[in-house]
Amino acid sequence: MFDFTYQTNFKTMIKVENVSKVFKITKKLKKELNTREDSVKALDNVNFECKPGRIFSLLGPNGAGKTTLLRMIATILKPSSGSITVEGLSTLTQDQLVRQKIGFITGSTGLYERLTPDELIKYFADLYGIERTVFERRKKELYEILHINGFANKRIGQLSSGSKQKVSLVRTMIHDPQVVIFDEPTAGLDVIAAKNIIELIKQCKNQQKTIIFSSHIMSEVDLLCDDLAIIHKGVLLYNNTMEDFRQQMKTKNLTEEFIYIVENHKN
Amino acid sequence: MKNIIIIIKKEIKDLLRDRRTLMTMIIIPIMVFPIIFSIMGKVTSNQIKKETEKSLTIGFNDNGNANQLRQLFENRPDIKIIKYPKLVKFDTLIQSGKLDGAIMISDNFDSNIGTMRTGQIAMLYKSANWGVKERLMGVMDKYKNTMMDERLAKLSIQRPAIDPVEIKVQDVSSQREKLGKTIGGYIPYIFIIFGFMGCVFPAIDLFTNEKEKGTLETLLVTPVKRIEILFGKMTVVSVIGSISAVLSIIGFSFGLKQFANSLPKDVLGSLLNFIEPGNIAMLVVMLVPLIVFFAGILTLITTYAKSYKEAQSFVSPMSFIVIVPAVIGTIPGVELNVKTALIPIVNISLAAKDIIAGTINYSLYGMVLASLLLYACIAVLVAVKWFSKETNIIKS
Repeated sequence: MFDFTYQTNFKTMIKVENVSKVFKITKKLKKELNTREDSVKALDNVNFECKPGRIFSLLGPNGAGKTTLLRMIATILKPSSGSITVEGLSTLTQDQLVRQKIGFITGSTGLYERLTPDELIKYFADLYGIERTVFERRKKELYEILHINGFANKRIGQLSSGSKQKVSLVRTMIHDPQVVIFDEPTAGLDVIAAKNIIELIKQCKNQQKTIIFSSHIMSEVDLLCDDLAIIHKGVLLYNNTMEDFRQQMKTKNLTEEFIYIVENHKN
Repeated sequence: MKNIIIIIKKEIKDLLRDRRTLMTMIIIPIMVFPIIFSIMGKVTSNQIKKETEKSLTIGFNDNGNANQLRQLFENRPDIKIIKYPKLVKFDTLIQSGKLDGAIMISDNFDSNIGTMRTGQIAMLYKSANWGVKERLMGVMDKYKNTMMDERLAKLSIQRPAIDPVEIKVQDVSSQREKLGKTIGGYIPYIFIIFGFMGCVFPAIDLFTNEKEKGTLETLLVTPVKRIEILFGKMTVVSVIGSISAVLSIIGFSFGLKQFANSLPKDVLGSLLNFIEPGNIAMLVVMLVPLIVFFAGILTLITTYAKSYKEAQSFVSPMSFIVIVPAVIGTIPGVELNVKTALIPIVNISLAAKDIIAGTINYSLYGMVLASLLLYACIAVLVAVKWFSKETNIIKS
């Protein structure tokens, strides 16, 4: 079975404090966006915390700043101001250590199509510096859970999108990350492939991992989420438990409530 | 360093599974010259053979003069004389291919010859037809010398009396030097272009494609440093570009040997001199920083591009920028000196030309190497700075 033995003494795994992100707009982009602005504020003074064993959902319409925020947690982008820590480690000054603790998965599988799943997983395991015996054990466990053995030596380019998604999941989980970031992971996937993701998120929660899950699909959020943050135009409009959100709802369902919050912010 | 090696191994394995890389890196550089040379060799030798063995049909309008000359022509088995009693449009007949050439003797030719004056002969030929002029002039020179000897005998004059100075001209250039300075310029042109072309596809695949497909992002979330990712990928681009350039030289050498039968032995020997290990080593030592320079520049372009198509459209004008200085090296008269040794691409082209000609100045060679290393370092530093900027490498 999946051996997630992670335990932590930290009450807060991820801490986002006063984070803002400003992107400079290049001349090329100015033309594309038909704007005269020199910069755009993608995130504006965002604060939240994520705890182990809980699923934190980041909900927002397209272009709200969800991916920018998740990329900053994963150290791919740097905040323009504010700070982010993962298990007490700064994403700015201890980025390599932070990345060792993180698994990041998106809707696009991001796989090397000319490699086989075996070769790809070995490549990432080597980059994470996983010991051979640990790697073999984890690979065996993940392959069994996700039924990868049947196509482990086929070129990834020849696999179905569902199989590719499974390989992508193994790549994300091979180093047994304490934090798993899912950035709209089911976007563009069929029902079966999406189900694999949902199952994995649930398993991660059972293993006391910290999960951040971004989506604009309400049903997924409703199904999985413990804590909810609603983001719109770079501003955090709501940040509390899902239970609290349900209790405070002024409309009939989650979708309407989400639209109500976003529309209200516009006005 | 460990991570760089892991990335290099993976990228090479990945690229070698791609047909486009194999085509640009191995098949085209190694095959193109043997194919070109074998076709060129066969066509040229067939053409020369055909032209030299061909019987020439020559129009002859003598107005009843120059019997001796006509007989000399008629005695030649490879020349067929057609007599024209009247002047016709010989140029039209030659252009249409009915005649290979024409000889026209002036009305007063015999009387002029008889009275020790100059007889007039007009010769028409088509220079596009190889060897016609030489064969006709051979006959006429023989006639002219006979006439000259007869006149000198009549006048009791020895030849040196009318030929007071004998000039002996000696070209001290070795055959290798002459060839090096003429066709030698094309050899560096070949490996510069193939070196660049060899870098283009891996650079697009490792930077633009990875950015476009999101695989670069998966690498960026591993504990590997960005600089390690960049160096791993740039090393692979440089290695593949270098392999492509070296294979083009091997292909060129192999093709030259194939072409050997249709070349004079001394010419072939001189051409093959550049294949000596010492010359090859000197070329390769220059090639490495040049390819790293290409890899650095291509890293900037291919990371800036958002898609494969956009990368190709950026790289196309870049090819032109590489070709122009490479072509400068082929221009006769452009020499390696303190100034040209500092111009990238032009310097390697000129230095390679001198290496092939065996006339390389080692101080200038050192300058070329130093400047190439400097440009390579600048390109790498700019690439590092460029790659560290998040907006350049993250798909928006």
